[in-house]
Amino acid sequence: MTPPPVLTARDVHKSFRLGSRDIPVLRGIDLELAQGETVALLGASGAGKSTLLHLLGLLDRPTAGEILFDGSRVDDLRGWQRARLRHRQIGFVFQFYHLIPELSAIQNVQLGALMDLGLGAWLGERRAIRERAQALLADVGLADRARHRPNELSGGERQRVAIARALIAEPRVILADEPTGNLDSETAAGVLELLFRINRERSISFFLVTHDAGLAARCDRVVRIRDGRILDGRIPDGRIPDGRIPDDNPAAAAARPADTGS
Amino acid sequence: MVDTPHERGATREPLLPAFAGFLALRFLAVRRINLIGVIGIAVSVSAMIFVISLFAGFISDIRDSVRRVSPDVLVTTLPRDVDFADLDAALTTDDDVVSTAPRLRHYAMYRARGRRRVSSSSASSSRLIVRADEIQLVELIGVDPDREWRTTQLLECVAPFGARTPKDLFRVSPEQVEAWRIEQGLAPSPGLAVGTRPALSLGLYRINVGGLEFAEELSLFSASFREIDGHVELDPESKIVYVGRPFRTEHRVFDQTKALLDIDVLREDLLDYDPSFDPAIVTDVAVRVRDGADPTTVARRLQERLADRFGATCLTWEQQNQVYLDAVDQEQALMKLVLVVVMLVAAFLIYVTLHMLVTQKTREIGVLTALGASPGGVLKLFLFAGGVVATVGCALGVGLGLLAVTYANDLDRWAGAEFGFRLFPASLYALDQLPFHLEPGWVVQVVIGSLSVAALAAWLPARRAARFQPVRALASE
Ligand SMILES: Nc1ncnc2c1ncn2[C@@H]1O[C@H](COP(=O)(O)OP(=O)(O)O)[C@@H](O)[C@H]1O
Ligand SMILES: [Mg+2]
Repeated sequence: MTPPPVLTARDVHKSFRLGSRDIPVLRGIDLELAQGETVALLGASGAGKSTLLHLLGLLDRPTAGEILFDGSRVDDLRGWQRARLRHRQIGFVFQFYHLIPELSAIQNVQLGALMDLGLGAWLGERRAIRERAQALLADVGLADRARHRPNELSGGERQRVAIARALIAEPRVILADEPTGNLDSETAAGVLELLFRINRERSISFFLVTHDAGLAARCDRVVRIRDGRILDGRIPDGRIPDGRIPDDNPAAAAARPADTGS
Repeated sequence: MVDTPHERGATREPLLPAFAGFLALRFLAVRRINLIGVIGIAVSVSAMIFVISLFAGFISDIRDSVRRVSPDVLVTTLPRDVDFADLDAALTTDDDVVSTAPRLRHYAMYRARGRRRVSSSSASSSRLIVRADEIQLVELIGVDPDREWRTTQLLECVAPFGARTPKDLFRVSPEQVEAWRIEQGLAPSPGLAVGTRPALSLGLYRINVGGLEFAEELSLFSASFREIDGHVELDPESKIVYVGRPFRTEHRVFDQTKALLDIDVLREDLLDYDPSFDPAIVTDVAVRVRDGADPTTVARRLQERLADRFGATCLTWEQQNQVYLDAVDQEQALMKLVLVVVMLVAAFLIYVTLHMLVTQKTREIGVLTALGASPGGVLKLFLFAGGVVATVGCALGVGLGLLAVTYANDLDRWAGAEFGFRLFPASLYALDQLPFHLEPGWVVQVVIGSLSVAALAAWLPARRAARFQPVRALASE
């Protein structure tokens, strides 16, 4: 018997209210992410990729449809229960890193382990957590940057810190929203190497939103989103014809005042 | 994985998540503006401790001084020709009445005779030789020294100056009078210096202001109206008395307006009273109530008992000073209002600085949510930040307040000596120093109150933060 997928979207719809109008963004998404699998999500800007990622990460609730984790429904859980699940099972990596500027690199990584720990329990485990954070920083190649603030780090270094932060709570899924979208190609290649190594070593599932055809090609599976629906599943040769994604979502384009860039 | 944390009904989140403490302190540390909230709370807490202690001391002092000049119960508004013996008989039938003392109030003027004398050579006999500023108006209270001593604390406020009996308090010896005359370079008293002389006991304040000296001669003028053959006639009297022992009750108005003397001197020498056939007139009777008896109950009972024959009013010591005590209460209420306003300003500062913090940290709130913070956790983060501001402010405020209470008098004296300027005009209230009275219970109340108000002020922005949509918060720049 095969285990259920880690994450499942079942006929997920999402629309946003804009004044008196409902703008549909997702119109029935069905998707599965198996344990250890890497899936690339492609689509035009404004197609709803980030929206889908947020729904899968339980940051938002679908207008209709269900999100399942390990085969059981989770989108209807209470706020604190979804928060706990997010903390323990799901890691996020964002295009703009989203590090906390007041914290050093190692403190940013530690923060990822403090979300559901009581203050008292933390005082007991402080040293262990700090050592884990230091080990993760070493793993992403930043052992000597632990005490630097985000504004003292380059873009690639910041993204590595963010990846370490996503890893410290030992999630089973990492949702990455254009993780290399803000990096030059050389740096991006390094960050991607890191992500795929983590996938191999820890068998964490990856769901990657990207514009980068090269990145998509290296994933187990590519999923394209258009008109609020999934276009196709597996691409046999793992290649996108010319690596260019046409801006082909009229609904999204109509509702989009300006590119949010995320 | 053993635990399945996304199961419904899993254990609740911690009371204070570690990230809240971890972040709140760092958020505050890099924003000096949060010092405003700390200072606001510190100022408000220290002001409260200072003012509350000052007022508590002030009020207890005032009550003490009021108590000194007020008998347990005062029987007043008596008919004109009442005889003290009858009143006394009626009052002492009550089991709760321990003793009574007659009092007779009367207005008079006095003038120091030894000084500012107009030289007789230059003054023609028809010229006005006494200027208004040389005479003083005074409200005389004639007391029966022995009875007063047994009944009230009033005579304890008179400086003894060698007096052996209560009666001695209101007389000076011929030797003392002659000593004063010699000191002034005056001729010895005309006539033989025999027998004790009647003395007027004046407030220490009045003696200091008037530059009066012990055993100095005073002319005391008074007048009464009497009915002769259907006509009402003015009957002026004057009498030489001597400056007696000063008294000091610390009840400012009393000390400045009253003078004490023997009731017999007042009756016989100033009001032409004839003990053989006039009634022993009084205007009031001081009553001492048995220890443990409630003066209010006794006063009410006495009033009922005296209603038919005398129509008297019986007032407890608090009722006698109602206006004065009410004024102090009102002043205190006003002060408390000011303190509440100060507290609200402090709370508002906390609210504004936290609101700013929440606005600046919108994106971070989204990040924290993505990392697994619940709305409750976000709420606690900002509540904790507010709590830190309030706690540090309270600690500073308590420290400052205690320092101020401890050193206010020293500071005041130092400022007075160094710059000739008093921070607190204690003398205005006839006080030697500021009468602080500090009770730990109030400090605890002030701290609890301030923390509660601050928590409320922090709760509003914290709730706003907790309600942010994480997706929108992440998108904000
Ligand atoms: N919170 C929101 N409120 C209203 N509209 C939104 C919101 N989030 C996204 N949208 C709209 O939904 C569409 C999809 O956005 P998004 O998922 O960010 O696209 P992508 O990541 O594929 O570029 C866009 O048109 C965007 O304007
Ligand atoms: Mg996007």
